[in-house]
Amino acid sequence: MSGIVNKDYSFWSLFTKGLRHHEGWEPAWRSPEPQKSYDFVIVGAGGHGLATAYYLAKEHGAKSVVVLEKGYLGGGNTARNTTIVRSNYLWDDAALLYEHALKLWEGLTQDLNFNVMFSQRGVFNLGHTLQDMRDIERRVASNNLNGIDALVLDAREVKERIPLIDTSKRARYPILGASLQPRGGVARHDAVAWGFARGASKYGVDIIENCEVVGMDIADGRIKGLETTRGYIGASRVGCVAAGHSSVLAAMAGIRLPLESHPLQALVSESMKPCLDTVVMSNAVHGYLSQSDKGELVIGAGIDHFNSYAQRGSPHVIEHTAAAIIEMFPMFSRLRMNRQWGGIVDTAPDACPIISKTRVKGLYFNCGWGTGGFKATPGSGHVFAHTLAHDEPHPLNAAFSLDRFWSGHLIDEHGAAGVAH
Amino acid sequence: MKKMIDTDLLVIGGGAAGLCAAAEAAGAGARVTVIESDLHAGGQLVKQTHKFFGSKDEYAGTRGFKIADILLDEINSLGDKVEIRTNTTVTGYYPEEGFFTAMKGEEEYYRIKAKKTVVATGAQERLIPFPNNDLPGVYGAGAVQTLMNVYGVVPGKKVLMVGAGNIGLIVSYQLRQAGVEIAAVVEAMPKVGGYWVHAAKIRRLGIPILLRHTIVEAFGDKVIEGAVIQELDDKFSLIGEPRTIECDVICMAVGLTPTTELFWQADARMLYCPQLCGHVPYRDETMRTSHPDIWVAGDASGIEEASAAMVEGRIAGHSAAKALGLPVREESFKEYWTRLDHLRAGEVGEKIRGGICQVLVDGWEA
Repeated sequence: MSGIVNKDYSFWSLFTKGLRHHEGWEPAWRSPEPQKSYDFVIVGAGGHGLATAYYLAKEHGAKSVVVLEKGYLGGGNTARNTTIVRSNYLWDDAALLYEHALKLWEGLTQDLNFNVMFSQRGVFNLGHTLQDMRDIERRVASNNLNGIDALVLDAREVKERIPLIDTSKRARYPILGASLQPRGGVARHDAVAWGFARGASKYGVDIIENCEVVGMDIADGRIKGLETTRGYIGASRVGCVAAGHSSVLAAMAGIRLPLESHPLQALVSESMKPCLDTVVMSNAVHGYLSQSDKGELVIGAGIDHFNSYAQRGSPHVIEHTAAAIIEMFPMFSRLRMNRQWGGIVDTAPDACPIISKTRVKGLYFNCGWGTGGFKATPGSGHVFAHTLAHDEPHPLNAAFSLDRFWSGHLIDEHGAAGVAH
Repeated sequence: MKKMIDTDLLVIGGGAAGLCAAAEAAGAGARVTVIESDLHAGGQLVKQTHKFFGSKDEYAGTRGFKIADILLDEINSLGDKVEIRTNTTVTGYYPEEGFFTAMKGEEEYYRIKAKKTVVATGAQERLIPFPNNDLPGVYGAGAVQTLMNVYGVVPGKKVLMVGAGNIGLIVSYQLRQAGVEIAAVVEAMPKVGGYWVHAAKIRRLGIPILLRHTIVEAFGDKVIEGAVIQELDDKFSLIGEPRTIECDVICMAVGLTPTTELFWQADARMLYCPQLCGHVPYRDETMRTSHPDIWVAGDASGIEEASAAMVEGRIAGHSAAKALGLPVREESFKEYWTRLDHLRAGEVGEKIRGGICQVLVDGWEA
């Protein structure tokens, strides 16, 4: 099925539907029955998978695309992250990839005709030690050379921009300064998944929820199709975008990925009046936070160091993060936490993603985004769609191939990745 | 500040069920810690000024708040076996690490490690949505009871009661006793949900009970000034003309639902059971859930009367003490079940029996 199914959202449609009490809105995407086979099968309907399908259909004219999702759309890490978007990475390869994504973010709402609530409120990365500040200077300089906006602030300038933060010398880990990326910010996670789903559906992409891949049909070194809980689906090319469960899929093809899956936790507080208009991250005390449009603090915690596929983490990580947040913002000490959850992050040894062909013809992997994949969502989908369409990587993801782990061309982004990997 | 509490038996919830579980287990010699989120133990009992029905064993004829005193006296008579920590809320359970987390007030944070746990967290009030339900003056019936019967404060001058179950009827009567006018009691069902004794008392006072009626919206400038009610047909669709009722309080008594978050976190087997008013854990006849170290008692196991909650608490405390290796009077177990069966007998207990038989298992595989 192809062609435009859903009409564009506009003030006019809002007005006319409003006259009819908002009855008669069509579903944002179709839920068809799976066909026998497709040219392109994307496994995983998170932000990255849906973006891949969207750009495949939109930019590469793919007519036969399906996205398979074992749970529900956007129910994995897309809904479990802290929605921070930035591109201040150290090395050229990573910085250019994330900057590509950031540029797409800047036009995404218009492109998708769906408000992803991208808010460029700036991202601060705090420095608490002399070495932190040296790393910040180096990273900002590197960003500037790559045309990425970034500046170094001292403690006084941090305090001016974030009045609630404790920059006093009393603090156990005093804040010495920060890097700031003014174009960084946050977006609405659900809207990203829904917007890409709607956009993809509009170009004829089938989205099949509650459909788990349980096996791969590989013959003569080439992918032929997938065994799923909703039957066999033939495929010419398969792109796996399954985050923490990528290793499970790879094992079906006899491939061992250099990934470790860990739970990463986040928590959300009760709502408050607006008091924090930017994003603050600290590697040293280990916490990062922003305030959502509903007034809740959205707080990122650390990863559990053991490997796990359970979408929950340990209490001591929460305790540690709560302590870190209070260290930075003493006034939040009486704030109650409303929700807490874990997502499964797939971390690679060099804290950079894998966007790659494999030794199985027609089988591609986009994974290893670790603790920071959300920010890359449109860019990741964009370059992965190119990789699938041309069977060759886009220039921006050529460096992120699987063979870097035996060629030695690692891209060490542990510093900029933020959360300790 | 982080502290660790170590105990043999942790009882979460110091209401009717929790206090009975604590008393029973401590009576067998267990070291018990009771965690109560309110400022004082007793749960819903302390706000119940009416005399109980049921059986003499569960203090029939005694007023609720007196029963709380009797239970606390029993606990105090056991010496220092039981520690009751009030103003403390259990905030989570981490099964892998094997501890609960709790907050006392806003300052103190604890981890609690217990060999066995009875979860007697009671119930939460349901609310139905309607426009302007966020205006000051919309209360849950439990809140109205707390205000009047615990703190001696009347919530307003004229009340619209939504719901004619036992709570709606009793609270209407208590409001009237406190000199508050009841504009009407509206009930969506075609018959009164509570006991006829309570309904008859309301009728005698000339308070209209409007069956097949619901609240459509509230109105008021800064506080509640009135409500719009309307009749319902068999399919709960609105029919007839909307009517305006002047009032300054809207009291919601539209039912309770068990508080079960801790069971979910413990990965206990759960079932949605309409007769028990929500998701409840499966349990064996000793009130043990599918988690081998966690028992359930009281409204958390399904919405019922305080009398039944007390017996369930006894059973859970008895079984938990036994599991701790303490000597217990074996005959008590049978006696408690006889009492429970007696409380659930007859037409009134039919719904509860229908619910219990769905979630009661023969025993857990070791």
